[in-house]
Amino acid sequence: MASKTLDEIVNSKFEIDMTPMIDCVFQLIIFFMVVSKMSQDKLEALILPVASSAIPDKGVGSRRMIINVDKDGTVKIDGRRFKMSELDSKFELEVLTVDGSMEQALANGGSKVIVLLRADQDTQYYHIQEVIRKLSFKFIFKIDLAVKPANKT
Amino acid sequence: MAKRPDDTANPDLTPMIDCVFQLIIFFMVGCKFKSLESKLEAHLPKDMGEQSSMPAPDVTPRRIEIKVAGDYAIVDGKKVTQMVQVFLGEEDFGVYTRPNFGRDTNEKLGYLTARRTIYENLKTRLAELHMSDDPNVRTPTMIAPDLRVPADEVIQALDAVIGAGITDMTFSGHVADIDKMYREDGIER
Repeated sequence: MASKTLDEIVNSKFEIDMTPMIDCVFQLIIFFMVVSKMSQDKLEALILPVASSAIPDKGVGSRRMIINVDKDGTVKIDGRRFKMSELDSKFELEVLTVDGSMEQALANGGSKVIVLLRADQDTQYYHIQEVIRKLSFKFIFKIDLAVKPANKT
Repeated sequence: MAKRPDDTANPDLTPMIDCVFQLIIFFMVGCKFKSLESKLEAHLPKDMGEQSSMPAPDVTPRRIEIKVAGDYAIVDGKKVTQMVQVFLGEEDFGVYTRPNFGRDTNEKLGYLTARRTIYENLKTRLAELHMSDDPNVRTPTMIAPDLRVPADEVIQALDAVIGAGITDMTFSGHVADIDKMYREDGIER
C-alpha cells in the first residue's frame, strides 16, 4: 500500500488564496499615495515653535486656509508659492468664497475664514507680521498659530 | 438534470482580516501623529488695527517688547538675531542668547533654561496684573517684537500671555519698518 509522506499531507491541506490579500495591499498602496500627496500639499515641512499653552489642533469642519511661512519668508498655500503682492487677491478670493462679499464679511464683524498660520521657528517676525497685516485688511481675524505642544512631564 | 458539483465557494477570509487589522492599527497610530501639531488661538480684536474706523480705546495696552540685544550675526549674508531681551512696559525680564550656530548641547540647554525662566516670570507677572484689573475695563496686551526676532520667541511671549489667562491681545509692527526689512534682505514682494 502506497503511503503519503508527512510533507505530502501538509502541502495538500494548506492552500491559501492570495487574491483578497493582494487586493487589500493594492488598496493600501493607493490610499497611502493619495493621502500623503494631499497632506504634503497643505503642510510644508517646517520646524514649529514649542508652546505649553497650546491646544490640540483638531482641524476645522468648515473651510480653513493653511498658510506656511518658511524661515526665508517664502509663503506657500496648498503647495503653491505666493509672492507677498499676490496674497491680497488670494485672501480676497477666500473671503468672497466663504462670506459672499467683502461687505458681508465687514457686516459680520469679520470674515468667517479661519487661518492656520504655520511659521518656522526661525522665521523672522516681519514676515509673519506682513501676512497678519494683509489678512486683517481683508477682515480675516481668526488666526491660529501652529505650534508643537510642550512635553508635559 | 445535472447535479451541481460539491465544490461550494469557500473563500479564506484570514488574509483579509489581517489586512483590516493592519488598517485599524495604522489609523490608531496615525491619529496620535496628527495631534503632534497644536495651535495657539491668536484671534485678533476686530475693532483695532490700521484700517480701524473706531477710535482707539483710552486704556493703554500692556506692551511686551522682545528686543534684539547686541549685534546681529550674519548668516548667508542675512542678519540673524543672537540675543533677545524681554520687557513688559519698563520692567526688564532679562536677556538670553539663541544658539543659532553649531549644535552644542550645553549651549542649547542653557538657552532653553534661560528662556523658560524669563517667560515663566513674565507669565506670573501678567497673571498678577490681569487678576488685579478692573473687570469692567479691559486692558489689552500688545506683543511688540523687533521685526527680526524669530517666530519662536514671539510664540513664547504669546504662550505666556495665553498661559496667564489673557485673551485680548494684539501684535504691533509698522508698515514702513516692514518695508525696510524687505528692502534690506533684497526680497521681492
